Amino acid sequence: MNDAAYLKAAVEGLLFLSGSGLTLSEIASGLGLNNDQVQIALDSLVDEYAERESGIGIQEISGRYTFATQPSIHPAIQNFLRQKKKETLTKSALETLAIVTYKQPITLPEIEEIRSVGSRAQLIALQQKKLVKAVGQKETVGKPTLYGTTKDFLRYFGLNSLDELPPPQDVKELNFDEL
Amino acid sequence: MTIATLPGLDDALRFQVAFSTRAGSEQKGPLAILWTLIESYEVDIFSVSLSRITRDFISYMERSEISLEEQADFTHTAARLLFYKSRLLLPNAVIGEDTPPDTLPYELVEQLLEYKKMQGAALEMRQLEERAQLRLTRDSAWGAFEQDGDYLEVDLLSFLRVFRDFLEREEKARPMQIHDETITVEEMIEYMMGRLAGGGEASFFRSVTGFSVARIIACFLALLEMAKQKLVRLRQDEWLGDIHFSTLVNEISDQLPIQFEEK
Repeated sequence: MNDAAYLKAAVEGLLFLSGSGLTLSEIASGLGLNNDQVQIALDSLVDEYAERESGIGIQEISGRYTFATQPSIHPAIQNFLRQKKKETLTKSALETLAIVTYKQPITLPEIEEIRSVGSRAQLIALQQKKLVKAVGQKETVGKPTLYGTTKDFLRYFGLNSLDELPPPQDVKELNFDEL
Repeated sequence: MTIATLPGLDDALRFQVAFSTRAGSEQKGPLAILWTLIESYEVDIFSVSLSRITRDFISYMERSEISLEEQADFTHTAARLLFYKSRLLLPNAVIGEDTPPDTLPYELVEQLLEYKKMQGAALEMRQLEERAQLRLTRDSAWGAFEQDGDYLEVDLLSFLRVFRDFLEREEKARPMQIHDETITVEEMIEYMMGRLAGGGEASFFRSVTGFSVARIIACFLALLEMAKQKLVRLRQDEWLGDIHFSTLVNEISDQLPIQFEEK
């Protein structure tokens, strides 16, 4: 086994063992290598799993590389585990979360101004699910709490960073039929 | 699901608003209802009649079952629409040159567009949420593989048997005894000075050989007290080594100023 193949195998083994995934730096420092060397091995592994139509693949979620099952085999997993469909966020909670996500940091009154309805309950529910957290206080009268998204938010939506979110589309850009 | 037909200006402009009456279902907010009305008019948002949408909105409120919690939000929006309408009736109403009367004010249009934008973003996030739920990681699937077989099958009788065995074992265990031993430092001083009766030097380690821990401590305190009273000279040749003590006086003082009691 040459050096590159050994490195790839070592990275694969480490990812297999790790539960919550590993960051690029963690793998690099653990193996005593630099980030670039590990990044090449990781990219190669990601491509290999994608090419061989495996039931698992390597995904970067919230800055951590982890093994994840492919969406194509989800029915089999669901059947095996006899799992019910996972609970999703309610429409109003998701609407509130979208506002926090794209307007963060944002205060509760500002959210309510956009939605034109009281949103405290939705915000509390999102905080309990650890998708939203207080990130500071706005320097204005009453110093209202500012809210932003969390790392769990990225994990929940399977994102590596907020940049992966699609930019919100202006209504003027939509066709009338899409409204 | 109930379909409420709301009155329009004429039959061609009639529209329908669908809303769920199922208990626990989510009620659309006031801005969502305004958008439903605007879409049903099939006209540009800047051409929507303020009078018409106000009337239709209030009509919707009268016909639908809005929860008590949301009544305030709906009433607030209805009041806003009425305020915009009444503002237009004022003789010195400020209306932009290009803004035709009886249309939605710019601030409301802006808010509606912003709300629609966020609704679109929420839909995108719903797709992301559904896609993410199709990918499972070890963390997310943790606990899902735990089967009933992983647990011991214990019935009440076997549980009681084990508990009885445990109690019997405990009874057989040797009980721990606590000895009450009273030793005074004064006694120990007498003992230590007795070791020096023949003159010369005595060893602390040899003096306490075979003693209980309490008695050794009392001896050590006695030695310190003796040194303090300038009855003995102490010498220790190495770190944690034996302590050698030799007498400085010929007789022990009859009355020692401090008495210790060690248990």
